[in-house]
Amino acid sequence: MNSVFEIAGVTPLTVENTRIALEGDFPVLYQKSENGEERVGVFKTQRAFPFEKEEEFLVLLSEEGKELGFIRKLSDRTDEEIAILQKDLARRYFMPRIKKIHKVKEQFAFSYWKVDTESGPLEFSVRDTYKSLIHLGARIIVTDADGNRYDIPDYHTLDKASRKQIDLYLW
Amino acid sequence: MRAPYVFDPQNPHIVPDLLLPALSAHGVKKEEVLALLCVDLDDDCLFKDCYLVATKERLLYIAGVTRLCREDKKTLQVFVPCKQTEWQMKDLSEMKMEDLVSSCRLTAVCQNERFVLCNFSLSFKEDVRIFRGYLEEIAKTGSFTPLSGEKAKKKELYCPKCGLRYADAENKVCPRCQKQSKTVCRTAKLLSGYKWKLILIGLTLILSGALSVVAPYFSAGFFYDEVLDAAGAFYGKILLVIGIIVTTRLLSQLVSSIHSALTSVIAADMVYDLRKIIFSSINRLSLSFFTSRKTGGLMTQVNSDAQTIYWFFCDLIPSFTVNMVQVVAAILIMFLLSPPLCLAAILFIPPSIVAIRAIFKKMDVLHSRRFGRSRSLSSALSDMLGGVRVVKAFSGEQKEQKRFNKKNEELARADLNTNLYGAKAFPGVELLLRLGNSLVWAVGGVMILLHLTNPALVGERQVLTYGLLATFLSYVSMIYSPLFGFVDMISQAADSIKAMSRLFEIMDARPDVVERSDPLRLEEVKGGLRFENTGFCYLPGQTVLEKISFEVEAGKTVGIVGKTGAGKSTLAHLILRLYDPTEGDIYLDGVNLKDLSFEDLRKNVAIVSQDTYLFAGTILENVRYARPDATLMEVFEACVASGAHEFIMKLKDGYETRIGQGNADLSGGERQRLSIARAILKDPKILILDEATAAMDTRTEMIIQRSLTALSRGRTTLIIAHRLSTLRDADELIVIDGKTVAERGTPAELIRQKGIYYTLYKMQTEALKTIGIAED
Repeated sequence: MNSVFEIAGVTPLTVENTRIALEGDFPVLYQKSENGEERVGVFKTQRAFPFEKEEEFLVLLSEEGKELGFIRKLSDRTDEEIAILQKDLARRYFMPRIKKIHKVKEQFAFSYWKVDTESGPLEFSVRDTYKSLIHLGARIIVTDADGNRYDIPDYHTLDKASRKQIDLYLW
Repeated sequence: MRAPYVFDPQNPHIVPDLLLPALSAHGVKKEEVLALLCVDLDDDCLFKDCYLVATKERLLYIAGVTRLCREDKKTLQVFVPCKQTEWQMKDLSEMKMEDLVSSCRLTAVCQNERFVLCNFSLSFKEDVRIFRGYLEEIAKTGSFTPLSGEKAKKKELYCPKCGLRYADAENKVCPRCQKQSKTVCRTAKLLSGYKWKLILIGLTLILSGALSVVAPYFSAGFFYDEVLDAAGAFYGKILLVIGIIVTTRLLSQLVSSIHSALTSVIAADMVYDLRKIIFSSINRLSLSFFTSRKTGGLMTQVNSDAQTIYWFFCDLIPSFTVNMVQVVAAILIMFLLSPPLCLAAILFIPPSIVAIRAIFKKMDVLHSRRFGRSRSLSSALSDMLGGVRVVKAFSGEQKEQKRFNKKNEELARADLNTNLYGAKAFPGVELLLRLGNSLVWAVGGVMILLHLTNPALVGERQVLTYGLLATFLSYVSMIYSPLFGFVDMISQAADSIKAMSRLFEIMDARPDVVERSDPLRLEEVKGGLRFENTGFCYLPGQTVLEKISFEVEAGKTVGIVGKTGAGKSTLAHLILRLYDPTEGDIYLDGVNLKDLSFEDLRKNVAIVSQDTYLFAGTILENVRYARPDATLMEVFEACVASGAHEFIMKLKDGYETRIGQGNADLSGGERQRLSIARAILKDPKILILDEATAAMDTRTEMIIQRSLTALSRGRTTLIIAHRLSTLRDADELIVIDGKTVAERGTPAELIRQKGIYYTLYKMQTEALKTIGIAED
């Protein structure tokens, strides 16, 4: 298994070969070796399977976008590192979660949404509604005209009035 | 609630009154504020009002909520701060905007560590981008100059009048505020050539309408009361009356024949014209218009919108007018005949209209769901059929069958629901109308009985005869039957108007790349190219190329090397002016491309790209696309030079083999050779080969390159390639890396430099060596 990663230069990052710490508001990667530690730099974390596996297959990229390696499982890291990464991931993948849909009004090329999210009430417009909804089983991701995404974790748990508003787009 | 503060690039220092208390709490005076920004997300990703206030010395971050508050009978907006942070301006550097999955943040380095200044949703990107520039200047110099002119104009996304979003921010047409009557008038103007024919159609319709209003009078009331009644003026003259009835029928038949003949003549012409208008409007637009839209949508637009618009003018408007006139006339006649009966007849009309509207609304929802599902089914179907090779190779037939069944089932269910609803709802309304009819019978019957039993009770003028009742009943059906049509027409008219505004959206769209009104013509093009600080981004903020500067002497061959996605193809597209650079300029023989006529430019520049498109037709036609007047000898020569000749002659019909949709399938390499032949035939001064030989083996590639050189006659050639062997004969190489020119020089020079090119070169030669060893 490992050999493929070696050939392609995609390094598995483990607690043995790396350390993660916070610097300012940003996580920084340190490379461990026999003669001590070397600061690799600030990194961005990207989920390889953002919907399927939120805490596995995390790819670390440098600020310039160069791949530094990947963490197979978040739980393999130390508690402190897990906290740092979880916070960073939560921010990076932040999508307001919709908990109530007051109104969806289709007018001309857009639909206008009035919703309550866990982050506060919100109004946004969606271009070409049918194509702007990603269906992941019972989960729905809505992308608005500016590119912002909103998460409906499970549309079955929405109240009846909310479901009725999006009924038309569900199949 | 209205946003308390909106960033204005030209006046970023204006402080809204509600923020003053919070500022003074920090000891900041209104006059000290240099720039102010308000974004929407706080540290915990909650929607708040978050202000960044820049003064000469400090940068203040205040997050809070804006509340409404009543004071002295006035509603005030009050800002309640809940979190503040502060940075010293001189400590800040390297402000950066970072794109996250569904939001962004502005960060800066403060004393060697990077901090987040603010978080915001993508809707605020434009504001923050400008503010970041200001902030950087303030941190460096203590002051800044606001942007002005075009650059300071924020894109208006919403209609200021009604708040609806523009379909196209470049071309601000609000679908609601734009008067629908205006759209119709504008379309009517386009079709003014059909004025007389349309009026004629209207006339025939009015005539047939008038005849149908008159007909019941003769066939019912007049027949009973004047012909069959002994007291009638025409008693016994059955033949005469039958004659009149037959004549009216004949006349109305004749008129309607003329009407349909006229319509069919107009239909073909008008749809033809409309399609032409739509297609030519689309055709003149720049490439970016097509890449930002779905081609499928455009295809339906050309096809069905023309039909819809025609239908609006030739069918909807005339039949609406005629039906309207008919109904009004019928009601008027009924009223003159007997007011109480008329009242009974129209009593059920308002509730029926309400009911029908409700039904159509629900039907609309059902129909659009049905439509959505059928679209989903057909896209799944084309997906499966298109990927049939993969399906077979991975024996996925079962899986695809399941996928198809699921979609099919969903569509069937939607179908069923729609039909079931229609089957339930429409008879209901019909029943309502029947009731109206029965009411007329009842009231009429009572009136006649009253007259018979007690003539004194009813005045002489109110006498209701059998004939009159019969006439009445035919008029009642005349006003009921168009009701469904009327309600349906409303939604269909809305569809047609939508089609019209789509038409104007395209007609009014301004191409991004426009030819100057008085373009320069070049007598003879030599082929010298110069890039001067050229930069390009497809979307603001997503720079693809920046500060590209290099010169290519006429007649030279230059290779462009770089990673996938480095912007090499974009560079080629800029030369062709498929896009215009967002910064800097490009010169051809010292003339700015923007000043040059399209014809001269595109006649002299040819591109062979990686993905080649062949039109349906013969090979000959496809190669000749570059120059329709080329002789067969020239085509033959071009194909020999491009290496296409070899495979063409293996086909049964040779150069006249039909290719494209549903015909012989060519391989990637074969297609590339044809498109090279196309370019050779064009004989341009500048030839761009964008991975044009990537799908061929090295030997074929070499032959093609030699022929190209032989044919070049002082041609400038730009070769974009991954395979470095392709570039071995280049006079100079340009390495694109990090969005700009990283290295340039002859291949030998670059190898000596031991930079990016050297690394690439080493990798590829080593790869070759490995193969060599394996072959031993």
